[in-house]
This record gives sequence, C-alpha cells and structure tokens, in this order.
Amino acid sequence: MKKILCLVIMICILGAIIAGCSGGQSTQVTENKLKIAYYAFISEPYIDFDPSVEYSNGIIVLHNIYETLTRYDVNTGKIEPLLAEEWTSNEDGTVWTFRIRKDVKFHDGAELNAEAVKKSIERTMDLQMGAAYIWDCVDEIKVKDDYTVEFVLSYPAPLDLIASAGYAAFIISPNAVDKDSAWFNEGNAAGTGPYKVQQVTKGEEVILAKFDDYWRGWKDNQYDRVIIKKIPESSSRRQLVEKGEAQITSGLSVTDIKALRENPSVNVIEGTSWTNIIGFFNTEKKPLDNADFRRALCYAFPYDEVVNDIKEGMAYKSVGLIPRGLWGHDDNLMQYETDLQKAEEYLKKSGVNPEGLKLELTFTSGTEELRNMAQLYQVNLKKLGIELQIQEMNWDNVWEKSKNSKPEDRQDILFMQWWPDYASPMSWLYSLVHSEEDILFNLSYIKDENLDAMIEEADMLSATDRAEAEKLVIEVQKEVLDKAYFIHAYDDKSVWAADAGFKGFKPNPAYEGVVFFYDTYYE
Amino acid sequence: MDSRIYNLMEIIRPRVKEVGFSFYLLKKNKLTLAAFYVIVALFVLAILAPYIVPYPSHISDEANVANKLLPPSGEYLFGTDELGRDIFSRVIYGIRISLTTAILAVGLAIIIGVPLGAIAGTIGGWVDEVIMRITDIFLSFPPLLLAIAIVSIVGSSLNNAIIAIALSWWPWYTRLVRGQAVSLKERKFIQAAEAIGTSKWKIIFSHVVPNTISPVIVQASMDMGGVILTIASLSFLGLGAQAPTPEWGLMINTSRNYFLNAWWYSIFPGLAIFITVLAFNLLGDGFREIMDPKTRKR
Repeated sequence: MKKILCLVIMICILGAIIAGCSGGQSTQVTENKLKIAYYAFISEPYIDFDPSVEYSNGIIVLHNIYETLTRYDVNTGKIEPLLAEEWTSNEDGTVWTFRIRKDVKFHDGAELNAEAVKKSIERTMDLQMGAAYIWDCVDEIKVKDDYTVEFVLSYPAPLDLIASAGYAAFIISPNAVDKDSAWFNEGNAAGTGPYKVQQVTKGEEVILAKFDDYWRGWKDNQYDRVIIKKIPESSSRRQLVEKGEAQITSGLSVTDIKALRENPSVNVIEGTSWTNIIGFFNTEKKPLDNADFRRALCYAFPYDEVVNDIKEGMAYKSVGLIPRGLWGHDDNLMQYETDLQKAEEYLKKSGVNPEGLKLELTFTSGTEELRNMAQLYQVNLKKLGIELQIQEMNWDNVWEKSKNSKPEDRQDILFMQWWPDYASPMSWLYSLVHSEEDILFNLSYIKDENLDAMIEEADMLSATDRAEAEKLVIEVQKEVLDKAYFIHAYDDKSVWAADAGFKGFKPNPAYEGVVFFYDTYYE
Repeated sequence: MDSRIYNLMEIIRPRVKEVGFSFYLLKKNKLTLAAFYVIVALFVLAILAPYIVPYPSHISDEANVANKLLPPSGEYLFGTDELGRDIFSRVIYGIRISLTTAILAVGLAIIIGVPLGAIAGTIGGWVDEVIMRITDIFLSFPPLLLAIAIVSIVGSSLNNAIIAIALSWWPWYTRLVRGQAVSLKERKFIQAAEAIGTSKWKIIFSHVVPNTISPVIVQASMDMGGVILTIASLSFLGLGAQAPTPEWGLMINTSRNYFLNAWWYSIFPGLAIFITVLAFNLLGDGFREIMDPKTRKR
C-alpha cells in the first residue's frame, strides 16, 4: 500500500516538473509587437566603443550605428556611395573631392555636413589608435562648401576605397566628436546609421533600436530592435538558431553546420570571405631562421586534409598570401603541397638535426578547426622526428608572447586569421610582410628592405596604375613563398546560419562578421 | 638459523597472518571484493594496453580524419574521435595514464606528508607547531582550487598537474600520521627505545613510521579515486594533459564540441572515469572497515 502511495506521489511530482518545463516555454514574446533581430556572436560584441579606436569585433555593432562615406558593395564588387553621393580625384590620385549627402541626420539631431566629416576623420587621425594608419596618406582636409570636402594627400592613394574601410572610417556627430574615448565607452554613440544604442553591457551584449529619422527611410518588415550577444559555444549558438530564438549566427563548427543543413527552418548562408589562416614562423630564432628548414615544415603541413576533412569543403586551399576574390590574388603562384618526402629532403638540406627538436605552436583557443589542424600537423611532424607542442591560449597571451623583446622567448609557429581593413591586398603586405619597428602583426618578423620597397611602390601605384601594382603584389608573394615565411593554411569561406524567416542578408567580405541589419527583413 | 633471519621471520609471520585474515574479511565483503577485482582488471589492462588495443598507432602517431566521428561499430568499438582515431584504444590507454599519474601523485603526497607528520608528532614542541600551522594553511584551500592555482603558475602539463595535486594533498597525510605518532609516543616500546638512548630519527623512521602504515594505506586507497577525478578535472580545464595524450578528462573536454552529434565520444571516457573512481572509493571504504579494529572484532 505504502509503495503504491509512493508511486502516486512520484508521478505527481514528475508531472508537475514536466508541466513546469513546458509552462516556461509558452511565455514567448508576443507577436505583432516589436520585431527583434538577435545576432548570436562568438565573442565580445565590442572591445572599445569609440569608433575612432575600435580595431576588433566592434565593427559588427558600429556599422549599424555609424556610417562611412562609401561602402564596398558585395554584389557589384565596387565602392558605392553612402554618406558621400559622389567623388572625383585628380589625375595622379592626390586630391580627392567628396560631395556629401544632404538631409542626413545624426541620432542626436545634428545635420551631416562637410564640417562633420572633416572633424570625424581628423579625430581618428589625431588619436592615432586602431586602424588610424589608413589615413596616413592624408595631408589636409579642406571644407570647400557646406557639402563638399576635399582631401589633399601627400602621396597617391585610393581614397574612395579607404573611406569604405571597416575600421576607423566612421562619421561621428559634431556634438560627440570632441568627446574623449571614456564618453563613448560609457555606452554613448551618435552616428547617422539606421540603429541607435539602447543598452550596452560591455563584454556581453548590445541592444540597438531603430532610428526613426534614418535618411534611407523604413519599410514595414524591417527589424525594430537588434540584439547582439556573446555566445561563445558553437553548440549553444546552434541551439539558439534551431529554436528560433536567435535570427542569425556565424562561426559555427563544421559538425554543427552539417547538422543545420538538414534543418528546414534554418538557412545556411555561404559567402566569400577574405579571411585566411596563416602560420607564422619565428624567423629570428634557430632553427627557423633557416629557409630550407622552413620549406621542410611547409611541405609537412596537411593542406588537403585540412580543407577536405576538417573544414569539409568550407574552405579553399590557399594560393599565395592574398585570398581569392581580391586583386593581387594569382592562382598560378607556386603552392606547397603535403609531401613528406620533399620535407625530408629539405630537412637534410637544411642541416638541422630534428632529434630532440621541440617546436612550440600557439593559437587562440576555442576554435575547434584550428585545434584539429594543429593536431594533424603534430602527427606529420612527428614522422619527421620533430615534436610539436601545441599551446592554446587567449589571443591576448598569444599576442603578448609573440611581441616578446627576446626572439628566443617567443613561440616558434603561430596560427592566426587575417582579414583586410579595407578591400585591398595592401593590408596583408603592409601588416604581415613589411618590416615593423615595434612588432604588431609582422609575426614572422620579416625584415627585408627589398620587399619593403616593393610593397611601398605597390601601395603608391594602387591608386593610379592598378595593373602595375598588381604585378608588384604578385612579385612580393613569389618572394614570400620562396623564402617560406608562412604556412598558407587555407582561405576561409564565410558560413552563416540564419532563421528561415530572416531575409536580405548577404555576407560582405570587406566587413568581416558584420550584419547590416538595415538590409535585412522578416518574412 | 641465523638470528637475524629468525627475527625477520618473527616480524613477517604475524604480518602474513594479518594479510591472510584481511583477505578473508575482504572476501566476506562482496562489494569491496568486486571493486578489488575491477581494480586488478584495470591494472592488467593498463599493463597489457599496447598488446590488446586494436589501434595502438592511434594514440599519438596517426590520425585519419577521413574516418572522423564514426559511431560505435565492430571495427571501432567505441566509435572514432574528431581526428578519426579509435576511442576504444584511447580509453584503454587512458587507464595507464590515470593510474600512473594517480599513483605518482598519491605517492608523492605520502613521501612529503608522512615524514612531516611523524616528525611533528614525535618531536612535538615548536617543530610540531610550525609544521601543523603550515599544514593548516594548505588545508584551508579546497584541493582542486589549490591545484589549479599551482598549475596556472608553473604552466600546464601532466607532470605539473601531478606535482600540483601532491602539493595540495600531502597535509591530509601529515595530519593523519601526526595523530598516530602522538598516541604511539605514549606506548611502552617507544618509551623503551627512548630510555636506551635511541636517536630521535631512528625512533621516527624505524618505529613510528612503520606503525602508521595501515591507516596511510587506507587513506591512500580512498584518495586514489579523488586524485583520478582531480587529474581528469584539471585536464578537462586544459591545465593537465595536453593533446594528443589520451587522457580521459582531456577527451571529454574535446568531445564537448561534438556532443550533439557524437554521444559516444563523451560517454565512454566518462564511463571509464566513473568505473575507476567508484571502484577505488568502494575499495577504500572496504579497507577502512577491514583495518578498523572495531569492525574486526565482530
């Protein structure tokens, strides 16, 4: 009798628990109220909220709050007008005149005019933080009339392209432009973009609200609110999209993408990306200062396995330093293949004794594909007798170690992804190959005057003689490949998962990770 | 018969009897006996691992990504992991790693802890005060937290994890042995040794330490489970074993990314930890009962 009573009570409790669970689900956001787009993002939505300073994830938020003079259009592959209606330059690309759009309002009510443009860009140039270097060519900014602004350059540069940069090219309201970074980091912002800031929690989430006076106007089926929130685990982001709670996410693991492709309520969106994964050799440390030894390491890397089996086709094999789709990329460049015999030959040629040799590999923790890639590489190198020690660390620590003043205390190999600041190959050449006084991103520590000269010349030519510049860019890559400064692991594809009702999104490789929510709508 | 050998026999004979009696008690306690057999089996598997696993090369020399994340089948008993390696082979090899690291860690803790406890208990006075206050400081940290702190300072590797665990575990032995030593000090044979002028050190190491062995063994066998769990936890947090070591905690950590699609990847290393830790805990409990004079009389 007692047992039966016990059973009955148990069933009652169980029932209550189950009912409780489903009860929680039914309290969903009521329909027909505000339409919310929720972007589950892999990392912190921003690092610095100052649009002149931010040189990291923050562009995914800032591009919805602020706008730039021009924008790279993924459909046409050209630079299209945004806050500037049209622009001209003189013959040799040293004077650029932009005509600014009229009747554009900032979130704080101020009007956009030439003065605001001048002040915004001068603020970024004066602060010299983040990607401010893109304006290095600018000598003077002149306000010609209320809606015309003229840039005088000290050397030729493609300023229309630079003005479309993902970083450091935002136009800020005249009321905010004199404020310091601290003011912005309190969660304040004033741009011309379609969304204004509603709530900011640093390191966690950003909530944006529709800006009613936006100059391009609004349609009924656009989103009223945008939530960008940090969800670091791939499986959690996948579940959010599967349940329909999040509208869009990216950076999913290959296994999660594969599972989502089967799901009819989720769209997997693929697009070009200008991100590639590069391995940097510490060329200032023995035995990696030996080019033959580096070639041996390049031949031991599992290129095809990474692309076919780890990325499962969601990547391309890299050819050269510049990813496909950007000018300067050349499919005919020599590329290292996985060939352990050749690796063995070069190892012999280098005279390096692999016995007891330990190489330290560092990369940012959390990316499953990189971890698997490193482990495959470890297996291959073991066959050459070299022990690879894999160190997964936070990006801060990886970077800190790579900038150590003593070359012996730095890592041996570092894997990192790189994407351009604006749609140009110069970002790779200047940041990764050109010699640096203080180490920033030239993490192979290349110091080659010949290469420096070629890069500088290519940069000058890029505004006026694109074909000649392209030739030089290819020459630089030939030299870099010959010296085996890098492991060119793979060019990434940009893969997103979005709710089936979330329309109008197309990944734009010039703005990595950015969703221009104004372009999206629900169905 | 040489008198020394005779003496030795005198010492050994009752011990042998004791062991025989203990084994008799062990046999009576079914659960402990089962745990004992499981542990014996684990040791056998660990020793024979290279000969019995189907894919010994999958431990660190080979990867075959084309076969990644295959479900359990005749070919791969426990399925394969993200690099196409046989999980069965790796789990079996994992026994080796878990057992050796646990034995090393506990052994190291005993080597540090027992002499300190014996010295503190026998000598007493300010020596006792100093040693016991230091132990108190170590005891005030939760063992896992202390181990994490130590590993974060010295860098993450399996060896450092062993050292870190030993450093956070020794105070328990010091305390245990000190208690024993204090009560032994009052016993006639120690007082007799003192009376004939035996040096302190000789008393500590030939009279006190041997007589504290049985509680230490009980404590050690109970700790094994906890230590295995701690090593797995450290590896899970990325602070212990590093890839490609087939350590259970590390395997579970990697498997998290695939859990929704490949249940087998986390389940089998998890089961391995579960069975091993449970067996050691049951054995430890059983040992305590057997060695406790109160239960013996019954």
